[in-house]
Amino acid sequence: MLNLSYREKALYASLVVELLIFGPYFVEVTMHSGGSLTPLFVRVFLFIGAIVAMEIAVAISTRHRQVDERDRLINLRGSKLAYMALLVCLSGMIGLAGEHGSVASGVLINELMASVFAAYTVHLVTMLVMYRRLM
Amino acid sequence: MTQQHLADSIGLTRQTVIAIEGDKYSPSLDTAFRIALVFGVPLEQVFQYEVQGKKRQA
Repeated sequence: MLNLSYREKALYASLVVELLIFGPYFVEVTMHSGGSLTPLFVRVFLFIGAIVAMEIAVAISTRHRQVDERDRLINLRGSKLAYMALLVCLSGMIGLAGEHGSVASGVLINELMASVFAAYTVHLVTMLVMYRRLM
Repeated sequence: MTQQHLADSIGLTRQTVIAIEGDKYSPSLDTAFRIALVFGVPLEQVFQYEVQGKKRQA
């Protein structure tokens, strides 16, 4: 069993919450065949609410913990890779839009959300990997 | 001195102290000086650097 720090536990929890809420949505969107879709804004509010509640719970249980230079470095590296992932996704979107001429607004919103989802996942996973490597 | 005591003395987390000890993370110059100050010894007595490799002892 891995000996996880507070930060790693919080990151794993964020990743699980993100995947649980957004994963099924994007699977549903990809496999969509005319059935009813859970509205995207409901997923977004669920996601934000779950993350906020989880962060509050973690913050209360670890009141005295501080963020130091290593945490900031890891966060910066995660942000840099997430930014690159976002750029790749947005470039792909632009390329697809150019290919097809026009894109429906619903599809565009889903593609944008998928890009944010991918970037956020890259951010979390990068940080988790960095915490393991710099341990 | 425990890792936690050192971490508290210089405003780091215990995980960062462990990473420095394990040569997994190179601290900033400011942190390196603060560690040396806590131990009351010169910086070069706490940290060494070898040009050929990336070996550094903490």
